[in-house]
Amino acid sequence: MKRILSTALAAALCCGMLASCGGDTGENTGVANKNYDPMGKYETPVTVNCVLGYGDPTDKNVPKSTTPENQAFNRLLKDELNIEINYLWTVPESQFEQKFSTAIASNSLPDIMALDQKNFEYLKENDMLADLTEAYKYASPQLKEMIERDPAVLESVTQDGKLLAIPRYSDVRGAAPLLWLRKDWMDKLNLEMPKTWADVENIAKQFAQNDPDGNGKKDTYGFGASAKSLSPWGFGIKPMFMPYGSFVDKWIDDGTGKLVSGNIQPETKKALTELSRMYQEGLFDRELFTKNEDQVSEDIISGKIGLILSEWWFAEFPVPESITANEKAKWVCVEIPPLQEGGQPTITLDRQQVLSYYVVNKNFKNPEVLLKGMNMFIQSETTYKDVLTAENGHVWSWCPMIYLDPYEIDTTYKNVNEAYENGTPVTSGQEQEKLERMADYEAYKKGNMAWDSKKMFGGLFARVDKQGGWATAMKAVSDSKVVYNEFTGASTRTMIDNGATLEKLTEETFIKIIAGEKSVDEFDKYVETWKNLGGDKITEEVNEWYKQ
Amino acid sequence: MKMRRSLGERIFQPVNIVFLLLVTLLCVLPFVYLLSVSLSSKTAVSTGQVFLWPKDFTFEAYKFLYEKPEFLRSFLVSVVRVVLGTSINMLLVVLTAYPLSKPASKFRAKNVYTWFFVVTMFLSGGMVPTYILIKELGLLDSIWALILPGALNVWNMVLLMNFFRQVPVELEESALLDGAGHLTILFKVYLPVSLPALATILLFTIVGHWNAWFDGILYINSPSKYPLQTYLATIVQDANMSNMRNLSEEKLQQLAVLSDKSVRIAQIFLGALPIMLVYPFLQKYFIKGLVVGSVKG
Amino acid sequence: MKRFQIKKDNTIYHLMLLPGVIICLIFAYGPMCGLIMAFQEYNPFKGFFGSRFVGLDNFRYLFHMPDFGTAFFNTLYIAAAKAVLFLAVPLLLALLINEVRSKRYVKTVQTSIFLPYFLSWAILGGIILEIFSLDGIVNQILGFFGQDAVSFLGSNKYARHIIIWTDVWKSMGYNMIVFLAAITNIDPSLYEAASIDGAGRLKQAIHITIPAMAPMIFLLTVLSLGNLLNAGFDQILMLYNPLTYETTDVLDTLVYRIGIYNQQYGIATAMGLFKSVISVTLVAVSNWIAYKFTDYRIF
Repeated sequence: MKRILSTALAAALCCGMLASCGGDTGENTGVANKNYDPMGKYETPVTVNCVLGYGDPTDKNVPKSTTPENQAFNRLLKDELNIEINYLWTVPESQFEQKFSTAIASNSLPDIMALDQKNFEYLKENDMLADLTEAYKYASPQLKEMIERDPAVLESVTQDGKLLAIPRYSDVRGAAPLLWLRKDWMDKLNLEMPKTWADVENIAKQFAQNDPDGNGKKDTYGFGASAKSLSPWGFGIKPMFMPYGSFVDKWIDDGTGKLVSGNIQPETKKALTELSRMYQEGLFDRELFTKNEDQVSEDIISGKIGLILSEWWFAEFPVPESITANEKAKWVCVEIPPLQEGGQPTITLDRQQVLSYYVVNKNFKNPEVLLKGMNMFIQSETTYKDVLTAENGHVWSWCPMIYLDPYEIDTTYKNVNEAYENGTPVTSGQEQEKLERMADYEAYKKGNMAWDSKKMFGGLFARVDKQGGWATAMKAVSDSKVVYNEFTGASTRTMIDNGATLEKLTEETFIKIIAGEKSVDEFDKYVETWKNLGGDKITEEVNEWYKQ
Repeated sequence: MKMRRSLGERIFQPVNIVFLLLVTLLCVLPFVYLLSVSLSSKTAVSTGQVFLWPKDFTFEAYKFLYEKPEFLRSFLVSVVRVVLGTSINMLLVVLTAYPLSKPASKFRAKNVYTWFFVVTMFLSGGMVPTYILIKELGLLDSIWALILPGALNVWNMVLLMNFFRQVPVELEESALLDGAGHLTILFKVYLPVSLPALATILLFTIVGHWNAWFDGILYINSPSKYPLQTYLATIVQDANMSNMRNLSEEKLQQLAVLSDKSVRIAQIFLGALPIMLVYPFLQKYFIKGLVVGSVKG
Repeated sequence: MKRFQIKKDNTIYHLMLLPGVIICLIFAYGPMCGLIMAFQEYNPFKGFFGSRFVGLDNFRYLFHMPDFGTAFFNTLYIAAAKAVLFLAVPLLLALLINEVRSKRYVKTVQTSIFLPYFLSWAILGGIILEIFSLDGIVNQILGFFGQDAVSFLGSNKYARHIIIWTDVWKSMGYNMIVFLAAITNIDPSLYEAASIDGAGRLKQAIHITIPAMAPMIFLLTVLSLGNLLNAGFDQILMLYNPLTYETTDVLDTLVYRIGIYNQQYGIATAMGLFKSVISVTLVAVSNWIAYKFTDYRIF
């Protein structure tokens, strides 16, 4: 659904013709291209081979007959730019990774693709990527502005003066972990909002022991989490290390300009000691080690979990499902409090968060197609808003080229709130939609209206509400001491060779210590083993990178 | 002595029946559970209230499926695959098992052939080389990519070969004396006395083709041509959050739709149903085999 | 006269085998050329001929993985247990079903036992986690007898057995059908003769049914040895977790986790080849042993 890889391969004939038209990329279709016209139409059709992993459209208005091939965006590409999208294959989203790995392994790459970091590094290393420096000149000013909002991101995909990808990235502040609480449970047990980590522990204890849902059964947990692995996709236990100043799987600057792994720091031992104690005291869901994300979200929805560390989007999933299942459920979020009262909360964030790398196969003759497509995409809610409608078969996540403003959520937050309060105009259709639902949402919050899942209040809670997910995340970032993961490079040689072994060692040791199956003193042994199994070597490699 | 034995038997019979009843329940209950999930409301399912009886009884999930064109379309692809694939499989299995069931004294190259086939059960080139081969042969995106690579199931061939060897030699020799050729012997003598084995292998072949899903993902290039189980597998996995490595905001809206467990389960249930219906029918032939056996005796 | 016939036979035998041989040559032996990757640092963009040969480095890498030993042992343990139970349980069931006189009951039992075979581990995994969870049905029953709740799948004492037995439960229908087919193939006159001699049902089972099924049992045993390094990847991935790695991490899951890291085609192929070579050897040896001891050649 979102991982859209696309590629264009000009049909042999076209290639030949275009190539013969001019030596350099800039000239091949005459007048328009000389000026790098962002929306210049090709005189002869350019066929682009793409691949796509997609899901059912979420918008019910999309006609059932819509397919990736006949979607509105692709028809528009043909009409406006004379670009023809040819799908080598399309698969349901969950199969994309598998299918794409096979495509790499059998050397049958498409022409335009959106890659994850791993594949980007791999294709880069193997010199399969086109230099986009020239093509980038076709980016419209509006697109350029979006891409360059964080200049470091574009820099990170430039090598030897060659621009190898157009990265789609997101605002790193969105990754700030928050504390999510069932307010209705807290009210029932007369609990105050937590000011310190000890308060949080107390809430966990009360939730686990004092029947917050009042059903007379001891069927609720303290902290909910998934610890079947250390890095699940959501609901993981890593944020619980942060209050102790421990940053698992992050490379942090030790203050002397050297990078060290957060895993082996004394703070991590301290965190493990405390978490292990909390587990012994029954503050966790006792089965967190066997549960994956699915099971945890089922527990949240069914009202067994009322305390969890998660990100801003938690309000969008699974909060709405939880309220649909039990309309009394009321969730609030706050920043994770510090250990001591009056102390500063501590969180860790990555330096940058690239969602996908749009690249062009080096054998493809018209790399600027990518930029032209993106130019068109970012106009979907302005110039083309009457063509690119759901009724007309537009599913934005299916488009072969996508570019969203990395700071879109922040913009939405500001624009919608301002529009709601001062009547200023909003800038896009989706902002308008949110604005129209605001009054109902406010009524719900005041208790004058029931939760209506059709009105998608979850989206407003997550993105617009001033006590909601995004607002709280922004507050958390500005209030906290933020420790950044300074390593943004590619996996090093030793990471590739020994990474999985080290990951298993870390996962097994940490989880067994928390579960009380290993004593905390095992941590020192772990540090030794970690170093010997390649950890020291990786540290060296990472620091070499850091110096550059 | 005789009395004691029948006493033992008299106790054994009810105990046996009760024991088998327990085993049966153990195997059926998950299906009852799935059925009741598929007939319950979304909320009741997501809050874990459904056990062996549907809660807030509804046909919603099945209605949803009925309106979904993909389900019926992939169902048809599966039917074609099963019919075509099973015919080819059965023909090849019978043709190869017959010569290989001869003793080495009658067919000297037999051992070479047998090992030629058996090795392929345990040694394979792996996914990527196979994919490259299928691609080079131009079979990608065609139903033949799902049928030809497994057209000879060596496992079934070995099973049948061992069944054939139990066919009394006299039957073959008398047919030979009557001037029958080997093809006639195979189809007129061997096959009729091997009905139980053939029914078993037929069942496995049908089940195999019906349940195969991974090759669909690999070799078929668009979901509109997926066989049913491939389509079902993607539904199950799409909804499995643990399969999502990178959470992007776009996924959030999708999750609410996907978390509809009743619809998922309803599809799984419907996917298994055809085989459950075919199976008792084939079972008849296991029992028929008995009858044929007694005629032979 | 007889000699002549044998010679004539062989041509038709070869012809009958031809289609199968062609299919196997193309689709089974063709891709085996790809096994060359096991000795290469395979790079898809350079192809089989352009990639660098590294000799046995991939194998060395495999064997030197720190967790290789544990995973290897777990693989053998789980696979061997499954192999034995995959035979013993269905055999027992087939014999028991054969003793039931009501045809309708037989049919019901037979049909139901085959059912779990149709469900994928993606579905069953969730159900089994639920059944064995702390407030799951097993613990509820234990609680009824005054036992403390046990975290079955978080415990090295139980997790492996749950993995073994749930797979036996899921797959037992398959072999049971093969055995039932073998039983129906037994000449009923043998039983008639035996009961005239006064042999009871138990004696008949021991002296007629089991010996008559011996070839089938041998066959399945030998074939199952070929799977001795396949412990059930799909299933284990659903049911294991870091707490039980020491007892449940198998070769396939280990390589899977390593595979996540990068495109290590050579290593994955080396792993596959290693497993295949052991499998083929085991099958050949056991086929030979079976022949030595019973004079029955399976292949």
